Amino acid sequence: MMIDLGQYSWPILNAYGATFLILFIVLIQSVWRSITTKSKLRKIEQTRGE
Amino acid sequence: MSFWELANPNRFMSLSRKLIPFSIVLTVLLLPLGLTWGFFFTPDDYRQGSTVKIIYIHVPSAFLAINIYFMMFVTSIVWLVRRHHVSALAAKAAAPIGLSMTIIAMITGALWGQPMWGTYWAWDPRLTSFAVLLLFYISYTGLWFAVEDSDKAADLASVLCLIGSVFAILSRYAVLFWNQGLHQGATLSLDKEENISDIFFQPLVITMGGFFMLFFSLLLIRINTEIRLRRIKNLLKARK
Repeated sequence: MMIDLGQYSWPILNAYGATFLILFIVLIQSVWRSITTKSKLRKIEQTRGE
Repeated sequence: MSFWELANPNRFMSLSRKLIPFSIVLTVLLLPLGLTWGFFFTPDDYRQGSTVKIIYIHVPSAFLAINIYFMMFVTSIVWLVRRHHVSALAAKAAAPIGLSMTIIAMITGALWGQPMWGTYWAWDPRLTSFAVLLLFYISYTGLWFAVEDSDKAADLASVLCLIGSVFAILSRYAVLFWNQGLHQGATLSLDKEENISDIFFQPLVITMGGFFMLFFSLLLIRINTEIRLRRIKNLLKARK
């Protein structure tokens, strides 16, 4: 389903595209950093316990 | 539970583990609902035409850009006064999200401004104060990376945050201080009449809720990461 944005389709679609892209980058970076930090801490705590 | 008990990293992490799933569910519900409603099911504005659809991303991102800085301002004061590490880490965790919201607000504002004002950028009071706010976000984030000692970094970043809060206030009230420039007055206001019709207001409020819950989810995830990183640093230091 696509609505008719008329002569303003370029700015509107670009505004939404840029927003989704930036939000996606922040989301992925936050989740990725969380996962890698968690596993790094687990490894350090394991070697500490040995 | 007292608010100050959250200064204990373990208590904070255990509470945030319970809150994260709820905030993610609310984000997943509110954000697509508000954006879909606003984009597909609202009419064009009689003056701005279909460009009014940019309001559903521009206003929430600008609102968060300013208010995340206020949150950082409060947590920076808490750090400077009470030396709670979680508060300094909360400000550190919020800064990249605030930075991205500022970038989104500026890009969407420029793309909206071009067809309406005939220019992507003008040295208008609100636009200029937003540009300065962006520089403070960049400097704040950079300062944390530049200083190795984390307590010293927190001190310096907090002071920078306090200075920058002047520009956050200017960004919020610039249109009231200087009644000139291209940018219109506040779309939503608690103390004044709203400058928006209900047909746009309802999806906008839902989208703002979605953006806020997204920020809240990301913030909790990022604070937990910062606490773990600090723990790693301390464990590695103790090993040496």
